[in-house]
Amino acid sequence: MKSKVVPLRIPEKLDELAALSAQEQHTDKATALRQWLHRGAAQYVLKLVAEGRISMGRAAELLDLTVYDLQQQAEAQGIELGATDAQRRQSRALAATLKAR
Amino acid sequence: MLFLLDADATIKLHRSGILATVVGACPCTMPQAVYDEVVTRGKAWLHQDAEAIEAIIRGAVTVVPTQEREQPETGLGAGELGILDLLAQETDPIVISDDRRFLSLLSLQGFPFLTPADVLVWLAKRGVLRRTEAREALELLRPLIRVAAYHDARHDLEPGG
Repeated sequence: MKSKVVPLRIPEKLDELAALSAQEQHTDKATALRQWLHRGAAQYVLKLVAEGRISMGRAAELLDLTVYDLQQQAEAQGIELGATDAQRRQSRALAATLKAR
Repeated sequence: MLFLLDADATIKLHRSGILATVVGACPCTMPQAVYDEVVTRGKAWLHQDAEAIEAIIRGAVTVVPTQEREQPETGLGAGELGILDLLAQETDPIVISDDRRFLSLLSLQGFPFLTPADVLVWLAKRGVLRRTEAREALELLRPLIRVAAYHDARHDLEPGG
């Protein structure tokens, strides 16, 4: 995944927390902040998928993850993904007509 | 009739243990982009299911080369866009998907679709799966689908459902 430099002003307390997290994870502060950012982005993207604003495939592309990863994350976080009630009604109606085919 | 599989549905059908049954019961196709999402990237990221899926679909699912493209405004990924391309070429296609965004576009354009749970019900009603087998598969699928979808499928698998 391509990366770019983004100048970012953050609260001092958050900076302290990032330093603490970095120490615990044996990493550096920038990495700790990037991990938080990515975790937040993943949650946001799953919300967009759940709302039907983007597809799973697009979500995986945006996060540079796989569909497997997203399914696992949604399951772990108890986020329900899937067809709407109206879409399920359409699907069930088709399944009923396909019975004989 | 031809099933067009998206990545999410392919993985869900595999997790429920019925992917091999599905591809044996109905001709199935997927665009290259879906294959890459499920098998190529899945294997690269060491997802064990990817190898198992590769073995099941090898020779049983037609993988069609499609133009790799991005259309961010649609909210779709390369796999779903590939399926849209195939829909124009195939005769009597049915998309297998549980993706809300993708299904809303399919619905708007009048393309038929089935969710993985309804594929399971369809297999049971055709007698390809025994109802007990279908219920077991549904339990495996349960963590990956909406609660309401689980209950609908459970109801449809009851005798007379």
